[in-house]
Amino acid sequence: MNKEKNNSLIFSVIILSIIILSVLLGPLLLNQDPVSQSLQNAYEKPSKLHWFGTDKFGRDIFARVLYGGRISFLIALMSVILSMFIGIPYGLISGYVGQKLDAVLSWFINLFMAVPQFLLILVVIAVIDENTVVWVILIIGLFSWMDVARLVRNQTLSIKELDYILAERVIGVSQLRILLRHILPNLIGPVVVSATLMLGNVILIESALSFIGLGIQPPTPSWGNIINDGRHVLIDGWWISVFPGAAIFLSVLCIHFIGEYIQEKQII
Amino acid sequence: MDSRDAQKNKAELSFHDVCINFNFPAFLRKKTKAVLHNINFSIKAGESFAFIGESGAGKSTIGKIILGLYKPGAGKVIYQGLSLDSILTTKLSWYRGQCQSIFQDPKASLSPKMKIKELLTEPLILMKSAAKADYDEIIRIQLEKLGLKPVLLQRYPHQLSGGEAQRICIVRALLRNPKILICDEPTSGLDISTEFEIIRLLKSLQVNNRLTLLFMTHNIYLLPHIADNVGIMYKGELIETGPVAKILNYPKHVYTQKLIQSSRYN
Amino acid sequence: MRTYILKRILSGILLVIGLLLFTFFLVRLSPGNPASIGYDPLKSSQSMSRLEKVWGLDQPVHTQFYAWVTGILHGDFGRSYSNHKPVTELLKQTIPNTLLLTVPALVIQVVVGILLGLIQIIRHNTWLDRFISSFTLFIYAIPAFWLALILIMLFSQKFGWLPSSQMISFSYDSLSLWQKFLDRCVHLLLPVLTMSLTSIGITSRYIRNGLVDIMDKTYITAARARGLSEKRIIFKHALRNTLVPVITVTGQYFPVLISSSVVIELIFSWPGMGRLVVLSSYARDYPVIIACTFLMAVFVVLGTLLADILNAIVDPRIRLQEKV
Repeated sequence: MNKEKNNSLIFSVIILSIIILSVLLGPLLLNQDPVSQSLQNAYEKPSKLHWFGTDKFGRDIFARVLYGGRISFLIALMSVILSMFIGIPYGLISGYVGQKLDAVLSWFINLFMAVPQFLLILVVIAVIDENTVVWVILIIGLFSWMDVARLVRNQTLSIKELDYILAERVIGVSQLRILLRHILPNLIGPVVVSATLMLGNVILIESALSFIGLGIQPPTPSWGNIINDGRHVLIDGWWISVFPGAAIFLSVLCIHFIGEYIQEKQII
Repeated sequence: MDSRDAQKNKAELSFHDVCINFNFPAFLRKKTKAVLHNINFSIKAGESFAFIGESGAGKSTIGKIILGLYKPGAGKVIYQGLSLDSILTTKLSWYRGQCQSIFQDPKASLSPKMKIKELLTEPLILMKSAAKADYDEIIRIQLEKLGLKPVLLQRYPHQLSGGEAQRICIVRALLRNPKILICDEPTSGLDISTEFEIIRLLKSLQVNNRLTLLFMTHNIYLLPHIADNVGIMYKGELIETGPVAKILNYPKHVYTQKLIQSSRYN
Repeated sequence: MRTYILKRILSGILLVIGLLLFTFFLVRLSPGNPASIGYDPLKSSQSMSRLEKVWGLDQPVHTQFYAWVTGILHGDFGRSYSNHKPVTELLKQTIPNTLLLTVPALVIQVVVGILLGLIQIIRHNTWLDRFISSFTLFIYAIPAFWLALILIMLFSQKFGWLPSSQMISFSYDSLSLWQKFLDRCVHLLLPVLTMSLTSIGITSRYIRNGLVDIMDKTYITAARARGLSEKRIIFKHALRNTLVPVITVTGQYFPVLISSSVVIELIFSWPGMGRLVVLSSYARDYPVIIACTFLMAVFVVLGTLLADILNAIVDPRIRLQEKV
């Protein structure tokens, strides 16, 4: 059982590292340009020259997938960090102060969670009418902190009743120090798991957004909008949609396997 | 001079008609806390006072009131002639140095992700009286006094035995130079041999450091070893108080009689 | 019991009030004037101010909010900016279609989820258990829209077995009743498959974990000690207790289902609410966007409320605990 888990962890880490490394370094080594068009090369099948084929403008899909990966990973990472920066302090304060403030803060969590996350992000992007990378990061991050906040809040609520917190209070340790040095370190485990899973989910959300045309706009490649490029040529240009989709699938799968592993290690 | 001191020492800490009632609805309650009815007692400086009672009788609640963790609903708590209410609002950090506590489960009362060394440095930082360079020395001396090895400093709480952990808790409390030490079931998580080591240790602290001990337990057989005076708690009421020998030999209340009887057969 | 349910309902009402405020002010975030969107720039400013008047945009904010809320209470969500139809009419057309898609998907996903969870418990710690665990992680990682494209590529474009869009064929009206039914089913197949397949992962994992917790309980150990067979224990003792996780996951799953319906309806040109939201987002048709967002959120609130109440009825311990 454990051996298999270790194997899947090792595989996940290796595959994810390959993806991340090629996304980071690939564009430097590759002499294909992700946006330059050459119409005479349109719709070429995967070949030695174009590993993943070309699209209707003759752009190299492999180069586009690598560049798109940079953007997808950047958005996922930054928006997860942003939502952690909101969610962790929010949950800590809500859980530690408790009572009326907690009731109000929890109500806000419930309010934001009532609107289905993808819908919420989609609508806000549509309303604000901004599709640049920074805005996509901001909007996804600003509407993804609720899960973490609730997790941290519940953990804080139960930890603050524990004996050692009472003991610290009796010793005379300040509230802030109790919060930062005695509560925070003890809930970081579940938060890491949740952040990992969220990383996968944000990749899925961003790609779906870009796919329906409300996320990253072409010609800037993102995994989602490359898939959209191939949407109407599924038979004659299957490579356009299949490869970026496989990249999303593999990345999210590896991230989930890693998250699952961290979770189990902490329980045992 | 002596007589005046004695006067002052007469009541280091006293409770006057302290009550806790819960009149808010049941679904708001997190844990069922014991209710207290008109608790009255006073403790002299340097004395060891034990509260005996079943779990839920209100012993821990009294301890937590003294520590300022619960607020009494009615009544007054007086410490050194000052009301606890005003102490907690105006002189809290001073009071934290006066009154310290150890708990039932020593391992659970040490922050799990911190090394023992960090945990012991914490009270010193708060004291501000010692220079940073002296911290290690002060800690080493205290550890030695309680028969603990310095190796423990590099460990985490879960790597300690129950007895070691409780001693560490005691060291932590002592580092703040308290006048009162509240011991809430300090030995019920330990095995019998360790239990008596800790009891002896506490007793010697009372005598040598002139500590006022407040001792909460459900084990009546510990009384003669630790306490000068005793109060019997039953369902939130303090039904009987007096010197240990007197209560053990001439119990007045029926409940006390039963309690003493049942402990004989154990 | 009654106080618990009342409390839940009260918090639900509070949330709906919050949602009213939230969705209303969401649109205030938008840069520019809605009256200027989608209209000929050559049109005079006069006609623009007439439009503003029609939509009440010249009124102060609180008057607009009051008008909006009273409108909703009368079932009136205003008019679409792009085709001037009442939003309520658009909703009446699209909501049944969305339900036609999501309800079968939800049923399939819960039933299959329970089955997979049970198989994993009966064959606990065997290769089958591990296989299903990995499988559920696999399908959870597939982007739904990509899976939809691949299914369309294979089943409708390559083999030509199934239709890839719309709810009915062009010749629908000339079909017999039975053929009509079949036609609908055939059109449902791919979207429902995509939707349930990508979400079975979460459901079955949740149910499995719930079952594993139950199987560790003392009373199960006691039943084992009494010599009951493992299958009998599962069917007599454990299954009864899966009800709570099933209800919870179904309630919690509602928002995810709605989110995934958005993309799937768009790909399969399914004339439902999700597609309506996306199309209105392209057109910046704010009244429609707000109405859909608000309604979907209200569905979610109702879903969780219902799940909470059902759970409280099924499991008395729940109402004794304070929950978020």
